[in-house]
Amino acid sequence: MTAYAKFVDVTICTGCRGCMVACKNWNDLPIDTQAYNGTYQSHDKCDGKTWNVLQMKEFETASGGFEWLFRHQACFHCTDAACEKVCPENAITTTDMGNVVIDQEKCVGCSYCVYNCPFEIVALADYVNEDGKIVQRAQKCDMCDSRIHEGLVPACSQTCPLDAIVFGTKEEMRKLAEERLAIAKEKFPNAMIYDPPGVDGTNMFYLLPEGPEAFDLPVNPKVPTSAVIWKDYAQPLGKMALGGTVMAVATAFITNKLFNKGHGHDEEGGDIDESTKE
Amino acid sequence: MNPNVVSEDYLLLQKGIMEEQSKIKERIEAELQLEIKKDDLNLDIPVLPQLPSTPVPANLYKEAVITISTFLKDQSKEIEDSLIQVVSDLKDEQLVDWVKASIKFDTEYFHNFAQNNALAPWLPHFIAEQAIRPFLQLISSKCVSFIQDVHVMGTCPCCGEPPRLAKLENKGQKILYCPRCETQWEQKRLSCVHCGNDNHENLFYIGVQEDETSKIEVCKSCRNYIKLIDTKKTFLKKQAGLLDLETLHLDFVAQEEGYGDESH
Repeated sequence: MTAYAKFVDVTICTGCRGCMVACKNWNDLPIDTQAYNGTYQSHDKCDGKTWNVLQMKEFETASGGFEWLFRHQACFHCTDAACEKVCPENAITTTDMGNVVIDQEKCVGCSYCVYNCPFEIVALADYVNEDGKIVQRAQKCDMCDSRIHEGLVPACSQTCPLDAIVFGTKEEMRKLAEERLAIAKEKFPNAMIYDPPGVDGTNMFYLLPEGPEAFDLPVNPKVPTSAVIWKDYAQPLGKMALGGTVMAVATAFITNKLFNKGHGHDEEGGDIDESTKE
Repeated sequence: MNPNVVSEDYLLLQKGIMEEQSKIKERIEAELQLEIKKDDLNLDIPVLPQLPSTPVPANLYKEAVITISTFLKDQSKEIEDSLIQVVSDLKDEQLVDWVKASIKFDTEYFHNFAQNNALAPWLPHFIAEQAIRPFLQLISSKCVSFIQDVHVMGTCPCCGEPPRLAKLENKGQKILYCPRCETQWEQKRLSCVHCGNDNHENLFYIGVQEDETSKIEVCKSCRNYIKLIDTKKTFLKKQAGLLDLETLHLDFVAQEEGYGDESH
């Protein structure tokens, strides 16, 4: 399996929001008008209807200067994905290319993933199921699964006019990130690559001009302990316990059969049944 | 939707042949001491016909022919059982003729050969062509440093094959790739590779709706075309030979529209 990754160079993004439009367009997402809240940013954050949002931050540099910070915000596709861990229906999976996808037909809308996502990306949204009913299902960026498995780059990456969003193997992207970091350092001394180890690295990673705090990103995101306990300990134990129960039932069934052999017929009252029928 | 018109089986066969070819190339690279100097060359004609001695020794070429034939025989039961025997019996003079004929793309010579040896008419030329490619690719790899200075019109600067496809690389350059010898060379973006026309009013594109990654660049001046692969839209890195096959639908479209010279 080759891991692929989307690399976002925040230092060269001009905030054109082409990625937002391309995403809505390819994934056929509905319009979600939000009230003006005093910033240029169109949406508060990513949700089930808007899979990527261009975050706009007004930033004061150390020398007292002013800088616009624009960040393409979308699912991080964590290698050790908390959403995948907590999903009780196994509706969330990591594909052979490393992107994390949600099977809308398996999802029951329990929102465990919503509460456990370290980056607050996954959200419930309307989904029309097989019966034509509108139900609430967990939705998020799937890194354009339908495109990348056909050899096409994700819609946001294709539309980006500055190559700020690039898609390729994780190895290539890391190399590119290092090259771009060296250039970015000249202008932004605090520039860094944000590929947090707490979730075992992400398959969408950033080159940030400032530390993660400047973008309201967690400094060291982790898979919630409850999720680890649930998936790595409780569930296997539960399955073992279930296995034990099944074994006990099966043994009871066989022993019953064995010991009741011979006179089981009378006890079942076959004769009575026949007489009542008549 | 995948607009590819070539069957999966055939693509797999071609991928297999390409793997064999890269193995052959490694082997001949070790044995063949080939050195090509820019100063010895006339930079107005392709490199291959200018080489003083034959770059394809008969014994190595025979090995390549046998490797390709054996691979084909293993892949398909329809191929005549006598094939391996026939190619193993090739004499040195015959091999020299094969090399010449395959470089010249002399289909008639191979048709006659097939007839005389009771083989399918397509088979000898196919094998000869697939076996010559590793040698051409080796020659091409020795010319990398100066190939950009070879100015030939309408052919590959290394082997003389007509250009078939180009890639639009990340910074927007048009890089031509020869599917035969794998030479790559850069060309002015807005000009016809066949006739040099750079009047933009006579150049335009034909696209296929289902195909996002490739399109056809056509020239009204010479009524010829070239296939363009946009590497910004795809992250897969494929060999030129394979890309040429996978974009065969574009050749159909272009030729139906009346572009391209049949004699190519």
